Amino acid sequence: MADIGDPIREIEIEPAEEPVPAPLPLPEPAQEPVPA
Amino acid sequence: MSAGDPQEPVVGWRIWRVTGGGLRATVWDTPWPPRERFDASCRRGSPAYWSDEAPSGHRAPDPGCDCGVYAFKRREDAEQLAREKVDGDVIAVGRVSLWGRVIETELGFRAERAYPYDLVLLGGSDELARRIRQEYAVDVSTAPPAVPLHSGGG
Repeated sequence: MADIGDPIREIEIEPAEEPVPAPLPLPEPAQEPVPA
Repeated sequence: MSAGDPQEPVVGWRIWRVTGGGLRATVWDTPWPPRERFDASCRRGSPAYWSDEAPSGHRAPDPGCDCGVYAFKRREDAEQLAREKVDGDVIAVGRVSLWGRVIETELGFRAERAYPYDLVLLGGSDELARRIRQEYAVDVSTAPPAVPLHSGGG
């Protein structure tokens, strides 16, 4: 563990929006060839 | 840096090991999946850190425990740790957003939730930086490799 010293205080942080990017969209399914 | 507005995440400094699969914690080798919030848990009392046994009963971080996502307040401290950990793998030094329960300490923070804010890859290629940037959707740059603290020589 890194030495970050002794605790000073405890806080609760609840951001209105979490700083996590949206997942990447799933790739489009490959189009199957349509018989003529 | 210090904790201020309870609506805004705290930003600290930490390091990760960079592998082909992405970012991993340097101490416990825990994966930090891209585009997912990292939630701390406490494994104190488990027979081994890789065990599937249920974690201890308290929410992380607990004031009386050592658990939580660690970060420094100063970049220099994270860079010092990077020099201690360098062993041939690419190390990322960067800022990390911290929220949920956060315990502020003298030199840093222990937090419940986290996500990388930006990264500098020490020794990584531009291609690796591009891939990590795309996967994690954060700014990523490259820098020369970290110099080990115990590199020998004069």
